[in-house]
Amino acid sequence: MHQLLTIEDLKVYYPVYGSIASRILGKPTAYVKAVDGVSLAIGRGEWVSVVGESGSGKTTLAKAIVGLLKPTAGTILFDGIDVARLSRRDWRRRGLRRRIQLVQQDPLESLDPMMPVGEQIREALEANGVARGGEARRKALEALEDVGLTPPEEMYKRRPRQLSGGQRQRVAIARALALEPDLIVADEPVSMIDVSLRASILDLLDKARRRGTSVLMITHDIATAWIYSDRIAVMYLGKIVEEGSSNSVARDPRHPYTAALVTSVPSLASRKPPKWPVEGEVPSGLRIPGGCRFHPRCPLATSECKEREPAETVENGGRRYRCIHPLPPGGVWKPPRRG
Amino acid sequence: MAKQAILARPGGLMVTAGLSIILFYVALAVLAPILAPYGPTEVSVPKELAGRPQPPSPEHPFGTNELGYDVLSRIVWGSRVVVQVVALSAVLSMAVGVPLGLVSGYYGGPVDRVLSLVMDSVYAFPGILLAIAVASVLGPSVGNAAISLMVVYVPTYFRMVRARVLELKARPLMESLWTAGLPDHWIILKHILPNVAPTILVVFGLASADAILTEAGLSFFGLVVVYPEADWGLDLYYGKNWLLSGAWWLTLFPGLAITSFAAGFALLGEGLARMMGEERWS
Repeated sequence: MHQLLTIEDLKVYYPVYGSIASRILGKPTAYVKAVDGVSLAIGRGEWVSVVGESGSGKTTLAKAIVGLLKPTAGTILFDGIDVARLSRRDWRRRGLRRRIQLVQQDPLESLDPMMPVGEQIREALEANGVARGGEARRKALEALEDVGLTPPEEMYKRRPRQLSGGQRQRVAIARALALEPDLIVADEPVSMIDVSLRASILDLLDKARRRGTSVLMITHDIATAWIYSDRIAVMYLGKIVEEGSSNSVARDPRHPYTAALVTSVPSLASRKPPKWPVEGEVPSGLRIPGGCRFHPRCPLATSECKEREPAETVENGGRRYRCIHPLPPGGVWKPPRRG
Repeated sequence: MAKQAILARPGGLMVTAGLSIILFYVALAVLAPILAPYGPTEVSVPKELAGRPQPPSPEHPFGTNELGYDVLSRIVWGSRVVVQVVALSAVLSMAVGVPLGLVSGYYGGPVDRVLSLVMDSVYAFPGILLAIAVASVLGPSVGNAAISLMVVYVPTYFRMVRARVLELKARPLMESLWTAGLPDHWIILKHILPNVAPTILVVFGLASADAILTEAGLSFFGLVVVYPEADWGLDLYYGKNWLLSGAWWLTLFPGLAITSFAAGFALLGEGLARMMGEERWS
């Protein structure tokens, strides 16, 4: 498949100034390795979800892709252009802003509270040279209608506070879609939305995907990712620990972390707590554990895991993972007994 | 949000009271020729009474001064000077302070550092001293007084606007505007300015209240107009000589005019701040 976006060995480190002297001298005492060597590709019309807990670096990854952060190292090839190296002005000049759109988590924070929402769509169209004047207005109305905000003339005039949370996120998506982007990066697009409305919001993105727009969704919810994505990448502490087709990752995980995420999904079918809970929280990106970075929380960890960082194993069919003791295929893995 | 009666909202009473006071004095200034019972330098008492201040009486509710000028009329005429100086200085300070604050806060970098340093140094001066220093160099006139006040209040607008821009810049809104592909000047004019506007209004109220007091100080030292032109601060200066002789009306009434006008702006600023406090986004 022709890849639209290819990320190679991407690193985003945040400098930490531990002392006043280090700040004055501009010499960081340490780095938070938020994204620490990520490679990922997205094809045209493909939906890839990056799944992980908070602190896994997934939002940093999203921000680097849309050009809000300068990567420390690595490349982000978008349609042949290395966008990791572009200045903010070049992003606009090359028309990349229109082609890569961001949908943020909290629409109340990402829309201007003082401006009618229709105007916000219209100005995005005008700024990117998609349409101007009356035509831009007409297109903005269409965009509102497309995401189910009717009557569009009425919705056009509303300010974000006069809309519900779900409607606001529809506006944010309408603005992104109106520009007919090649790639939509959606950072937790439904985590602030009522559970009952989530599917209807994600369906809007799915509709765009079926017309050929690629979607990169950042989420902590592996169940949602499984339903909508072609592929899932599981991220832990700045690295992708497992990646593959949505079904293979969610139904037949190799990495114990993926398995833990899968079993933590509550189900109405069985009234039981997760069988294989992962204890504790993601360690700080300042002190990444040596060896396999998941070993302090892994129920299968051995002494080898503490010493050796697992290399990437690639299976037939393209699934890859980083684990020394991968779970057996077939989804028949059992949680180990402790103690 | 539902439209509420202005009085029912927090700070609504303060805003209404402040605006009424301000409008009262503006009307006084505009309509001075109609409202003032006498001219500002008209000898309005019989010759035999001139030479000594005369206490308030039915014909002269605020009394007269030693030259026989009617104190009430001089307050009415004097409002023209204060209103002009304060309005002009507010426009000038805003015209300089707001754009600089927007640009400095938005772009940051070395320009921001230098501008902030300069503004902070000016801000560190006591306002009245700075205004007197500038005005004594420029010489007494309404225009020069406005320029002196501008020097004092530009940093106030600059600092408040810049701080608000920095606050906005840290919000996800800015990321969404950048990724929507809007050019910088567009973001500043169409998104940052409208979101900063309420802050500018609050600063306008509070800075103008302060400016009235500073203007009174300038005019007290004869740095705005020259006697016998009518001006509140100047009348205070000449009135103070008669305080020990018991002629309290020469200082009390101009003094009340100054403080009440300043209070009007202070009420407006404080009231607006309370109103915004409630409506600030989440």
